[in-house]
This record gives sequence, structure tokens and C-alpha cells, in this order.
Amino acid sequence: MNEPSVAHETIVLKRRYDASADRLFAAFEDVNARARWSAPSDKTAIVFQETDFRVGGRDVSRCGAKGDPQYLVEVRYLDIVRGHRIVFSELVEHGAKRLSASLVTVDIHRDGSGAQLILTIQIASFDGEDMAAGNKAGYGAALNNLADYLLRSPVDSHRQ
Amino acid sequence: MVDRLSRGPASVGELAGPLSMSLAAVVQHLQVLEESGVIRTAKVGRVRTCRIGPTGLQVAEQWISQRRTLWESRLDRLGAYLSKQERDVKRMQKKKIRRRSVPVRRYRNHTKHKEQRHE
Repeated sequence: MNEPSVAHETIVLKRRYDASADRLFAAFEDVNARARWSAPSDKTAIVFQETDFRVGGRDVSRCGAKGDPQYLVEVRYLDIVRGHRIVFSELVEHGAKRLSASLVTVDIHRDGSGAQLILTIQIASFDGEDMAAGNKAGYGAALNNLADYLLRSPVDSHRQ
Repeated sequence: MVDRLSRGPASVGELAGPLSMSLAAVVQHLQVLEESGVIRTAKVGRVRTCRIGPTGLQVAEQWISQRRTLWESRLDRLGAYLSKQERDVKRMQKKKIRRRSVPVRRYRNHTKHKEQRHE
């Protein structure tokens, strides 16, 4: 048996967009815009149950496979500087299991006619107790999910 | 395959042996198993060895790498969204210009009709 553990990581992603800093900021502020680009692929969906884009406000969304979004995401806005910066915490849960807690910083800089985005995710990832058990019994749920997944998706579309 | 691996590590070839699946299909299934955290694999030379189950910490690390991939895809889609928005705005502006010119013509026609009626 393994002890419960936590892994830490800082992820930094940089992008330049041919859009003004204001338009980039609006894509984070406007929940309809966010719903459109936040689903990472056409097979996934994000559904906002609650949204309150202001310091201290909270977003609650479900995301995951279309028709069955299993992850619950709770965001708390900690700092907002219009056109420049958004800082929020993000807790991701699956069922009764908390998977990770992150501090996410969205940094927007003007860059010529466009804007640069620097996204910093400082994440603490929890292993989840049933997975930490690391024994055959612990894989029951994962294998069931996997079986569902394999039934739903043809073999050659696993890689997106 | 999971049953076989629960008895000890095995190479991809050993796993595929007793199955009536193509090697490519086996490899794809193994990829899914690995992405789901059920197995992990390591390549030594030309042989990929699979073993059951990551530890809790590896599960946590896998989740981090999934979050990274998720945000990378999101930022790609954000870029696509912004360019589409830009195109839509330009299209709307063109339409507005077209619309603006239409009422003027209609108005002229309208006044002509009026004038005709007066005559």
C-alpha cells in the first residue's frame, strides 16, 4: 500500500494572438466565449452552472466527454486587472474525489498589433485514495470507466 | 491484458501473442490503458515492457500532464476563436456598409412614387 501523496508542478504556457489585449481579456471574461474555447476538443464539453467574473466571484462548471461531463470544476477569482491580469484558484473534482487544486495566472501583454498571453498554472495534484491503494481492487472503477470508454470510441480515434 | 500483467511485467509481443488482435490494435489498447493510468510502459532498446499500475504519485503526475495538455488545447482553441471572431467582425462591417447604401436607394424610389402621385 502506498501513502497518500501529492505532486507539485508549475506549468507555463505562452502564446501570441493576433488580437488586441482587450479582445483577449474579453474571451476570458465572457462566459459564452469561454464555453466555446474551453472545451479542449469537439468530443468534450464544458457546461457552466454558475459564473461570477469578479474578484471573490465563483464559477462552477462540469467538463469532460460530451453528454457525460464527469469533472466538476470550481474556480474562484482572486485578482482581476481589466485587460491585463486574471488570477484564479481552480479545484477539480471527480465524484467525491478531489483531483487537484491550482493557482492559475493569466497574464496579458500588448505585443505590436496583437497580444501575448502567459498562462501560469501552479498545481497540486492529489492521487486520490482508491488509486493510491495501487492494488487490483483499486482498479475496478478505473477499468469500468475504461470499458465504457472503449465501447464508446472506435480504436482508431483514441488519439485526438 | 490487465489480467496477464497482474501476474508480472510483459513485453508488447508477449501480450499480443495469445490474442486474436492485430499488433497495431494491441498497441492502441495499451496506449489507452496507459493514458488511463491502469498500466505503465517503458521502452528498453526495441522492446516495450508493460507493467500494471502506477503508484499514487504517478497517478498524480499523470493528472498534471493531462492538465497541461488540456490547457494547451484550450489555448489553441482560444486562438481559433479569436481569429474567427475577427473574420466575423469584418464580415459584419461589410454587411453594414451594404445595408447603409440600400435604404438610400429605397428612399429615392419612395420620393419618386410620392412625386408621381402628386402629379
